[in-house]
Amino acid sequence: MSDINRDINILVVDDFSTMRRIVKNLLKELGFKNFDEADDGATAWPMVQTGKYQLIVSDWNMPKMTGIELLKKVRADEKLKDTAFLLITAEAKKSQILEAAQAGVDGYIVKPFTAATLAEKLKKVFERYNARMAKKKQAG
Amino acid sequence: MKLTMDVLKPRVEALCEAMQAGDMERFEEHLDWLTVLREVQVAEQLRSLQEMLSVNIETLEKDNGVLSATSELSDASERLRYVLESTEQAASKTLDLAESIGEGLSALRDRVAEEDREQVDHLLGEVQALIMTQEYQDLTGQVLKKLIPALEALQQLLEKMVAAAGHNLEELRSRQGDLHKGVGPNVTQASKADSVSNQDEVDDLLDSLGI
Repeated sequence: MSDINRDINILVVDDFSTMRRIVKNLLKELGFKNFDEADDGATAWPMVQTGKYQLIVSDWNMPKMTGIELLKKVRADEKLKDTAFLLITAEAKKSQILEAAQAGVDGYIVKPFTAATLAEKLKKVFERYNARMAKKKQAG
Repeated sequence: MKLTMDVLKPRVEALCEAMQAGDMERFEEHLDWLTVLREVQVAEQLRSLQEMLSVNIETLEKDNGVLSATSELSDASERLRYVLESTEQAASKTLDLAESIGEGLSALRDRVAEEDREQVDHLLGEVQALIMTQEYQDLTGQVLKKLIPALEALQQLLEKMVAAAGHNLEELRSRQGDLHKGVGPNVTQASKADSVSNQDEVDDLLDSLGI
């Protein structure tokens, strides 16, 4: 993952603190340093709106605002729409994966997952993110 | 017909007279009449109970909370078993790892310098605490094991009531599922339908969508 900037700001969104801790530990192992946490999409949204984050790693099933709702809000916002978005979720219905894909998710990991899966998916997430940024630069 | 003393008295008197006169045929005739009267009373009470029950089931119908609870409850015991099994597996794996670390540290303890032993002993204590923490699985497991049969009994009762109110539980279930909100892990046979079972299947699906 040499083409990934490890200094990016990451927001980890999950209603279970254990899972936030696990994700943060795995991301640290991969060399990332800057994390914030939110326990729900509704808590995450004002944080995301500050424009601080380049990557959002979110659960789907959360009480007030779900991960898919958060993804849709991010993609609908002109300033935020390019943010990399990875869903890590226990939701495994094909129709849900399709919905996430249509909403513009960059990666989808089904729980339980391994460190290797996260590393592999992050690589893909950043390929898509970098391609998006390059396209934006070209257009701008 | 309401059972009053006015209705009963002449019949009971006639019954006594027939008994005293030794007229078995008339005695039985009056006894039958009294018995039938009693049975009619019981039947009327049952009918009124049935009406009360039917009214309550109609109230259930209006109360979506109860209906959705019945639908959710239908696989609650299966979901609880999933919790029981997952925590058991996780605790067992944690114990395996903790024991392996403990063995490694014990072997190491004999090889390190005297001044480092204290630190190794401290770590061994932490490993021990880690092992002890897994006790939660036994405690929570016991609670769940007690709850499961009670839930199953309640589930059967509620399902019968919902069926008696003329509802189709299968239709209710399909109405309940809101995939947009997320439903959590697919732990029941019914929810496994149309689900991917591993990351490879997710990847294949996303590949086919160009992601």
